[in-house]
Amino acid sequence: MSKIYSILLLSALLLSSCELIYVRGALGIGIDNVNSRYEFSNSQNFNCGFSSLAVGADEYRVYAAADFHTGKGGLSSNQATFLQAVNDDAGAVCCLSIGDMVSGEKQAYENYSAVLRNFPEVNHAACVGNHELYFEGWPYYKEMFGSSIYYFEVATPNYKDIFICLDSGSGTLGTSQTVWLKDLLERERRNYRNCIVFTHTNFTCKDLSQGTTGSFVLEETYALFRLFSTYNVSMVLSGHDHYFEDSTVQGVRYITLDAAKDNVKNASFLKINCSDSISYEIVKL
Amino acid sequence: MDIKVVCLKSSFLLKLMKYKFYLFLLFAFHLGTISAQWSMRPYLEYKSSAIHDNIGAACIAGYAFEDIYSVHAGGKIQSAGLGSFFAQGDFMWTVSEEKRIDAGFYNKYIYCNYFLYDIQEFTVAVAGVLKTRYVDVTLGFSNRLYWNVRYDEKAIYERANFLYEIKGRVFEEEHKYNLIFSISNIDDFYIERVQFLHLKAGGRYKLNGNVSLFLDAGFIPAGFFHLVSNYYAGFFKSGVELSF
Repeated sequence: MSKIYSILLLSALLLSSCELIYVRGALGIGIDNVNSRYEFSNSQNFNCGFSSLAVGADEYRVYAAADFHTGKGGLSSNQATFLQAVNDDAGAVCCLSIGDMVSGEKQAYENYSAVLRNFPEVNHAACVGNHELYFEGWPYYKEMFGSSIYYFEVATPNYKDIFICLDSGSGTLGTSQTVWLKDLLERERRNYRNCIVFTHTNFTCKDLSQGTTGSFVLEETYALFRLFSTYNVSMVLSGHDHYFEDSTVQGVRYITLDAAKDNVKNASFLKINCSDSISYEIVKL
Repeated sequence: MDIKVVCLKSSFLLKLMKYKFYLFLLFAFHLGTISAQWSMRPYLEYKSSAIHDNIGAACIAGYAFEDIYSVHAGGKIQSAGLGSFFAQGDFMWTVSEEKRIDAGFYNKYIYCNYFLYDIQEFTVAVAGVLKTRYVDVTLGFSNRLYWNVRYDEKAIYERANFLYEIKGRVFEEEHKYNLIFSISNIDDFYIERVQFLHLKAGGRYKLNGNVSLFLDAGFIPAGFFHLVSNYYAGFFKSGVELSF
């Protein structure tokens, strides 16, 4: 009997809200699943606050960073540096923050938001990562950023480019989002010059630097490779692995960004140049 | 014996040494014919995932000899456009006959062709196995190479991946019927990335000494190690195990 009590006690401790590791999330307890986050995004018309950004030239820049991991303890100086760089660049249209912006607690969201408020001119496109969902963080995300699945366009004098944000915070797109993505690409891709997809979870894993943090299931990875290739997606951006990778699969370029977290080695962000082709520059933080 | 004959003999032995691996296999095969055992495991599988639903048919054949060596090979085809083949060599030794403990290792090569996605994949794995009365543990590592069929691009090489399987039985293996539970990231025809575990439960029923029926059900969550878990897939697998 003592063994049973020990197991029950240990389970109760693990299942209770842990301040360091969100163990309940591993068991899927107390979190909205990806299909319910899709339903919320659908109710918001897959909008992130702006659906079209106009720019005066056919060539423009977009900035991207991932994994700031702003905690409840303080503000992120790398986040401020990143937003300042976007603000200072007259050719920058918007910035993409590709998940794990915060560690999930309400205070962490408030700290991230406090830095963001200093740059009201910057168009900020957020993306949900696994850490945003920790400690029942989804309601704070909804309130602050809205949809976790959305798209917007950048309209230049002669072209339009589409940016699609996918919710891979749970390591899968889920059934509803996958169907929506196929439909969107089939319906809209031909109307745009470039198509950039950004999502938190990385696709290629040449390195096991992050140990247990998972990517997509292999079958889903291959299915998405094919889908992106079929619709000629120009570039797929992700983070999560804290390890930079640039791979080309079936003609589509997959970039995994370094973490932009404060005080980590190789912290960086991307300055992406969009014209008839897409190129990028890594900026060290 | 003159020097010429000695030289000829030694050069013949040197030539033979070049083929020692094949000779070893031939020797092992010869030994195996003394007490060989063939096995066959055809089965059907149904899998429903976030990507698609599909039905698969597979068959695995095994050949064991001298209780130490065995080789397995299998093929599988799925309605979702996947063809797989694997070959595996096992070496198992009895550590304690009384306590029913066996230990060994295996070497496995898996080739998968995802016709639907134009992707081919080749995986190599080495794992250590410990078998006891009620629990089997497999731990090892693998690496993976995948490349696409149509484009002239560099293959993607995933150099390090760990594989694991912890399997528990309610009764001993020889029991007429059994219930088996396992946690792993491996299946017969693929080795998933380390972060994706499969939770499986299965039943076995021995019709006689040579024929058993089995039914397995499994659940694959995504994001378990993200600490944000979500359903990814579920599957059923059922077939016959034959030994002769």
